Amino acid sequence: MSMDRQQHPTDTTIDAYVEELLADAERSLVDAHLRECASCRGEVARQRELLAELRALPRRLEPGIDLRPGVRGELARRAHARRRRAALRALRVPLAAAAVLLIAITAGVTALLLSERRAAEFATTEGAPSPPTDRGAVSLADFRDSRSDYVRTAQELSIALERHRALLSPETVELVEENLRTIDRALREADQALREDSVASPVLRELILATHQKKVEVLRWAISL
Amino acid sequence: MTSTHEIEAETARRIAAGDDAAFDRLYGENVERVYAVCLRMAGDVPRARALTQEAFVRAWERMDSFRGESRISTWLHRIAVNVVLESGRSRRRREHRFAADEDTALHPARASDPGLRLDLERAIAGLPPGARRMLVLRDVEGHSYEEVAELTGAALGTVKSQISRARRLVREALER
Repeated sequence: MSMDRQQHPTDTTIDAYVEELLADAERSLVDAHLRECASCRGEVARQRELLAELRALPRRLEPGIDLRPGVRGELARRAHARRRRAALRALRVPLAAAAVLLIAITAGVTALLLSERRAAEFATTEGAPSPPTDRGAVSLADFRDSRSDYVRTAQELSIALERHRALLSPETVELVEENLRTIDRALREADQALREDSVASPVLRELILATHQKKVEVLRWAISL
Repeated sequence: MTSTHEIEAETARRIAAGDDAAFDRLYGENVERVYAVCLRMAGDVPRARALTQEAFVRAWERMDSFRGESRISTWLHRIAVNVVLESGRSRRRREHRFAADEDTALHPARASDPGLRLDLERAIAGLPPGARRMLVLRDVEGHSYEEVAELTGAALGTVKSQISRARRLVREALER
């Protein structure tokens, strides 16, 4: 620090002097100035007094309320959020894979039905026996009953999910909706294939029921979060 | 003979394992210390309570990383300071300054006056947030200027000038 006896030390230099942080040479300069400057001596005295007051402040203060319930509540909330995120991560891949599989199966079965129809038309024209109309896996009556049950359950769960929606993170809501859209699309395609084919393949019925079941599972999972 | 560090490391292990009683003891021994630094750095009671709560939440969540290499109170203090500083970075509050009055010396007799302590606390609370946090860390909590610079992420020269300015603002407030 360059400072002659007439030049007042800066505030930071005064502070460093009071805190005894100056090097010897610098300290000597300030000492020399203080001997001649009452104003700076007053400043040093006031800073010393203030620092003493600040350092004497109590290091402990009572918060006035018990913060432990809030701590435990926040810990529980964060633990729940972590579990939800983990469940979301765990389900994301299987759900996406299931949805893709459903679409692929639907497309495959549709192609199969169309080829069966063409084969039946070809066989009829050639005088051969018609292809089997029922493979015996799911009767039409059972299919209709089961599908009605699934549709009703899904409607009830959708209402429950709407009430639960505010508790879910936007990321979760987006994932659930994305999967439901995919499943609904698969159902529409399968239903369309069923309507277009008078043979009403039991394979297609099983596919439709499995898809409805998947939709119910997704809705139940979302509500459980 | 079991050392203090070993006892504290054991306490940390118990809390990490979900021992509520161990957490209650840790809380009881440290909450006033943590709250004091939060209150002075944050400047108001509701925020100080919220920050104290967050400091204990964070401590519990990180308890399994405590190895007993320092005192648990020091470790908690560091967490509390970081919680306040992070909060300050994400929340820009309106700064207000004291009007500068004519300098007058503090009367020595006021040093033992309980009213002075309250005036001093109010003067600290009224500082601009950045300067207040640095002044508390340096002058109340006893950190070195270098430590304050490291904690706040500010340059050393900035820390020194901010603290110097804060001290004079406090004096001005007390002398009004």
